Amino acid sequence: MQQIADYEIIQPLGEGSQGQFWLAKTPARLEVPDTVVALKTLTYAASDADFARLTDHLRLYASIDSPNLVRLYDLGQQGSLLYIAGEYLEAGSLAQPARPLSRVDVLRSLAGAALGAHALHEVGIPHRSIRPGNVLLGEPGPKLGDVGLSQLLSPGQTITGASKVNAIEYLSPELIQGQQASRASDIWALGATLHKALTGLSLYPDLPTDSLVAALRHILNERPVLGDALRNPERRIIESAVAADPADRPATALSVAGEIAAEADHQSEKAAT
Amino acid sequence: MTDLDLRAGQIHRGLGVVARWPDIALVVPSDSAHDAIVDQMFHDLGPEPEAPQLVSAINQMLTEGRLKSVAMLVEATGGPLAMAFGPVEVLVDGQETLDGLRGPVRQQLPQAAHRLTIRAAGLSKAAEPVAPYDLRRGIAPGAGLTLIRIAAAAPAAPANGKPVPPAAKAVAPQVPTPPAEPDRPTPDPAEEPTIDPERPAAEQSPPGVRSGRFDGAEEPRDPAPVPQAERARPALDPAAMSVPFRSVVLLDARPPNDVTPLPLAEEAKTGELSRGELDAGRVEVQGILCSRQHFNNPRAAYCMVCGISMLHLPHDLVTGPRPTLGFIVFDDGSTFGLDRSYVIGREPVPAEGSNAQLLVLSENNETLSRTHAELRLEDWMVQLLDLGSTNGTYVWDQTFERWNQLAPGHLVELSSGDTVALGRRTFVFESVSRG
Repeated sequence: MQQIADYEIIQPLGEGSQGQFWLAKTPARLEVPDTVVALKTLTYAASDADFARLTDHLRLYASIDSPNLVRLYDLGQQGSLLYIAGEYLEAGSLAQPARPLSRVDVLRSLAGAALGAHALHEVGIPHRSIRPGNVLLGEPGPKLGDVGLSQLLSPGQTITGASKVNAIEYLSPELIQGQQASRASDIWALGATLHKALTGLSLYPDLPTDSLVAALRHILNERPVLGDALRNPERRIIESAVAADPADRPATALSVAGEIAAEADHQSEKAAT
Repeated sequence: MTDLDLRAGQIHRGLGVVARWPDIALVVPSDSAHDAIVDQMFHDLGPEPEAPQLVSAINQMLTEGRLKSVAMLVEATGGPLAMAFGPVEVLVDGQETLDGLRGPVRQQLPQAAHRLTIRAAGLSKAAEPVAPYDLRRGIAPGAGLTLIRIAAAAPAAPANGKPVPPAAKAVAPQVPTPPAEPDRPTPDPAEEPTIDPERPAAEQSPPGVRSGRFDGAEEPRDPAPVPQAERARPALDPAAMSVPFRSVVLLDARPPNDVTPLPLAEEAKTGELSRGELDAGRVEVQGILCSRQHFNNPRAAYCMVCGISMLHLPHDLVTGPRPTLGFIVFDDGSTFGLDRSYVIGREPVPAEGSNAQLLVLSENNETLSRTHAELRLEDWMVQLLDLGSTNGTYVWDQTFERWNQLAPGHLVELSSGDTVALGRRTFVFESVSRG
């Protein structure tokens, strides 16, 4: 029996933005109906002050009443390991859906993720790591998961050492440059995620993969290239979300959610007739 | 006799401390930052610590953050308990089972396992040849310990027929089951015959010796009084022994009254960004505006936001909040934005009056000082300063293809693309000013 704190590990679920995810049994002390939870672990020798900051941050996150955010249950520390327990969603993510998704499904999941991002923004939290693997396909609706903690644990850090080079296309240019995360940088990530989910393509077809520095330079010097397989309204939504100037992007994730949902409705009506 | 105690103990060479008593074995990898603390801990524990006291002392030190890494095997009902914290790992028959940096950190191991290894993570192959000694009791230098189940014939039946207390002599037992070539110090786990998991553990134990749990009864086959250390030790109940943790349940979280939404992009652009962690350190500088009103370095030819040319603009200086000056990318891919200054080191301490962010770098070879260097933002410049580090701070000189060492206390301005070495860690600085 493998164990972290009082969580019995059932199986690994994969890598997150900074740590590992595990499927674990819900300990009796947590009064939730779920029998299993998703447990995220990350290695960080947190001081009492660090732990207090994390607690404040995650309490604020957990207090948000949004159906489009993964519910958080428990934050803890055991030795040099931090863990966060939250809701486990069986249907997978946009990166690894449990069943094939239609185009309308993809649009609806992104609309939900954008609503989740907006709920975070309204309490002052940028998500910082929106990408296909963090758009979770829940019942009844999609949810945004795995809120980024790197800014809390290591202020100023924009990319963690464990990141894969292919994850950086979801980082807006201004975030790479070192500006603060914002509504606009999350909106960029929503646009890049929608593009990837609809076309299967990166926004940067020629992104160098051998050197992170070269890849970051590429993103700062080149404009995104949108795939051919997009319908016009989809292209328009993505183009505005990944505008170079943050001020040229939609002002809020709420408006992005509205546009994507409208397109989803339009496509499903067309399919019905 | 316990399962752990039925095993020969082979030490992996390397930096660190290994320790073993009848029902516990542990490894603390070396890290000069806490070697003295570890020495003190072993000193305080005395020559024959009992497992529960030892575990609770270690747990206490882990909780307080004084002990940073340890791998442990503890005798328990149903099979040894393994625990791993920090850069250590536990292997069962050569298979990695626990990783102290990733979790899980605690697991009960199968009693039938042939080889149990606790060791520092990332040991090179050079550390793999285990020392040809058998550690049964006590403390020794080493980076890991492999406990190998002893061959069935080994301890139980000496020629004179009298049982010998297993720990009475530090005679190297014949290891392992079945006999391996003794001159081959690194047996490939894949080649070793494995213990048949279908057979009961007792069958695979040496004859005459009860396997596994110890329930508190006296040794039935040895009526003579035995030294205290050889007396029965009750096996720990795995459920009762867990590494302490603290936790905050988030279910009842209520929204606070003073929630501040993120600013809208228009507010941010006009410098209304008056919230957030950076406020205290916000610095105003003189710059120029591009035709779309983005604030830029007066020396830049192109706008850092929209890329528009600023060559033909009148260069009227205006005052504004300093934007990011660029970013640094470390050798491991971690990237930091230069919207603030940083003090970099293994355990950096801020200079008095400085509001630089502390940037903690990990480094295993001790070439990085605790407080090594500072990256300081000054006006539109990024400056590098060695803070009296032991091994120095270097900037790669592209023209002469050599490392130039910084004189301590001497500020050097970095240019975009410069590579900097702090001990064995390196980073590349990228400016965001274009042109």
